[in-house]
Amino acid sequence: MSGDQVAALRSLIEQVRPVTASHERTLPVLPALEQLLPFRGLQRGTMLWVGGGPGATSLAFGLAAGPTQAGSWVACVAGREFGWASAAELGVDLHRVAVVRSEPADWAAVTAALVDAFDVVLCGPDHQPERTQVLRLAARARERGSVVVAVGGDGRSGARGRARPWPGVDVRLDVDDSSWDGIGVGWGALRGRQVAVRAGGRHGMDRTRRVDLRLPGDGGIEPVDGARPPGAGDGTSDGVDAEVLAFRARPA
Amino acid sequence: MFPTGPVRSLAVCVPDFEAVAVGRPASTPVVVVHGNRIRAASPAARAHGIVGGLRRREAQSRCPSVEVHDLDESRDVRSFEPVLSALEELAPRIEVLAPGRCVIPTRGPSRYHGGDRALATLVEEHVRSALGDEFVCPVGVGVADGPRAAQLVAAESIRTDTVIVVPPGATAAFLAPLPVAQLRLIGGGGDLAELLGRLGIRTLGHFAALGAPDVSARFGAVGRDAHLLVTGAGDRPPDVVDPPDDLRVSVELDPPVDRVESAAFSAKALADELHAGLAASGLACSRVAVAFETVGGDRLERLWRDEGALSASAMAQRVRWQLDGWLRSGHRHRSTDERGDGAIRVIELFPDEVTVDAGRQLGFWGGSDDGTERALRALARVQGLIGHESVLVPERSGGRGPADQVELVAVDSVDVTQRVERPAAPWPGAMPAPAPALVWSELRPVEVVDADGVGVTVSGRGHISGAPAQCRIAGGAAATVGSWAGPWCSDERWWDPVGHRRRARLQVVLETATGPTAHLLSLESGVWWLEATYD
Repeated sequence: MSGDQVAALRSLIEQVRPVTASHERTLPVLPALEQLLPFRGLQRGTMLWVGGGPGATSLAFGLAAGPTQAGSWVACVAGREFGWASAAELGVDLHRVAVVRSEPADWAAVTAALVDAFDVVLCGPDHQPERTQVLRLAARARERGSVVVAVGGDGRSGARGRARPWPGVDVRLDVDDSSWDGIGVGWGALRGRQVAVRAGGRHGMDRTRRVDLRLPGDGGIEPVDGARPPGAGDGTSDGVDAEVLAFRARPA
Repeated sequence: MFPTGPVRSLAVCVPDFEAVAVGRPASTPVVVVHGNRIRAASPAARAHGIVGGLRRREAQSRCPSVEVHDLDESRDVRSFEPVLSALEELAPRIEVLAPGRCVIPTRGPSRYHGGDRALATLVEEHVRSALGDEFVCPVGVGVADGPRAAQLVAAESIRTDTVIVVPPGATAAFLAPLPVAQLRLIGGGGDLAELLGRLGIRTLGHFAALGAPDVSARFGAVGRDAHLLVTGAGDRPPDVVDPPDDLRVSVELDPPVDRVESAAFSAKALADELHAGLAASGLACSRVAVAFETVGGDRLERLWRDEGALSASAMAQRVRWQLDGWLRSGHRHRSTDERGDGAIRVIELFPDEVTVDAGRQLGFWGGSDDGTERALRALARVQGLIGHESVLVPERSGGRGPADQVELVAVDSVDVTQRVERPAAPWPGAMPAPAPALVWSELRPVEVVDADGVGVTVSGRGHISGAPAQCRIAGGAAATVGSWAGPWCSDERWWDPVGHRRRARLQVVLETATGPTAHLLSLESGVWWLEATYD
């Protein structure tokens, strides 16, 4: 394809694009997390999975922080063990959070009701939904334009192991390689943690990218100083590339 | 039509009813706390110098043995139900303001029982016997021209510890020497009372001496209503109009329900419908009647009054109170209960007194927004599904441990649209930030051993016996301790034999297959527990 053909195609894309492209319907996230997500925010109507090693719960709180600061409401189900003091430290506005304690049997009905009205629904690891339940919830979220964040933390017991990833998620974030600082052998105290987050999924996320974060740093979630520049290294793509990829992936 | 003059009324006021409702013996000091502030205190607690509005910690420091209970409106309503049933034997029409406070129009009952004073004495006896002998709590009963004046008189009657009957036409003279602070007892009067106090107006008599047009101009509708009250010109706000008949709403429950949650869900929709109907006519409701009909044909009707206008959620709350009282207090008739037809078949709501809606001034910085309204509606639906105590919001509270710093409270107990952030006060001895992301609700024991395999302990002086080398959580596989810090010792509530807790906390980073995992362990009574995880 020659240069002017590409230019013509680009102008055609501009002309035929809908008034509100789906990637414009996003909820803002904390600046440090923008690189992890397609379109640099939580795209409405999608489902995210946050799992991996230690740090998954903190990352999920971090994802919820941006929307609450922008005035969105966040509901949380099946997260009996979540430490909301930690969520507040990571930037969640607790005045925009509702916590629902339901029995596993009520999970599907409760999440369906919440997805109707809340911008973000945080599903904790206390309940492992069936595949059909997840797919139904995903369809409902897509229709209502809310974001479902499933947390595959350690669950109720370390013995049971990490939760299985949900099927059909749009974005999958896995926390890896965590290391704590501030604590020694008999001295100091836990101060901050460095983790690597691997982000993958559909719609512009088909290449896994890796982002290093301080989770938490001294002032909430921070990018790692001197981290490799976006776009360099192991298959990482920066935001611009992601958008181009997304154009390719968007159905006609 | 309404009679034109003020309706002669009797008011009953049981102060600190929330503390009475807890149901503890009178000798036990009890406080009821809401939002970390004292809402009500029993006489025994008052004797220790605890007053309303104190912080929980301050109350505990004044009286270390005090029992602290959280506010539970359904408990309050259940406890008030016997009082109302007792009063229904004396008067057919009772207007309930809140648990512990109600108003009775006296015209008929006084004639029947032989005068206002005879009625008031009977009412006091009935209330006291319904509350039971074990509660020696003050009960205020006052009779005056108009329900609001009667409430002020009832409050005064608590202070003097006698029933007060103000003769007809003498209300203004009786109220004149009372301090303006008493205005806080009537709807919307709290701010007015404070403002008048700052302007140097000390008694209701001084306030009454002001010119009505000046009061109207300076203090608005609230000031005008309060002025009418203290001058004795009329207790009823002048804009009360006859309720239109077509605003009666009802819902038939099929199948009939006997669970509060499911009935409350229908009631919310009903309240919304009534409120929308009122709003369309430009009216606000200050007294609503709630009626239930059971399968067995029993009918329970009750009037709920509020000095301001009842919002849709306030109406739904009154319905839930009434449901609580009816379904849970065992008040429903034994005979119907045995036949199993005490379930509720019909819920009906109708406005009993309406005023012209003066509108609501939204806060300058924006009040409740669209997203909040939507969220609240969804939460109401979830409450209908799984019960209203299962829907919670996080609220900051103080504490040293990770579980104490934020507590989850029922969404009904806070005004979600107007939440205030209390500044975080420092907690000496609190764990340093960051807080753990997972706080375990069930504690699991942990085996902590040093390099020689000897169990690690912490001495009373806070010295650790050895460096932790290995941890085994709840009998699982042993994990190597990569690094550790602590111990942080805390000795909480040492004055309280029941609530006393001595703990030492330790942060450990364990080397596991999924990477280093940081945990917070706490040592209590010689056993290490897994308290939280820094996930």
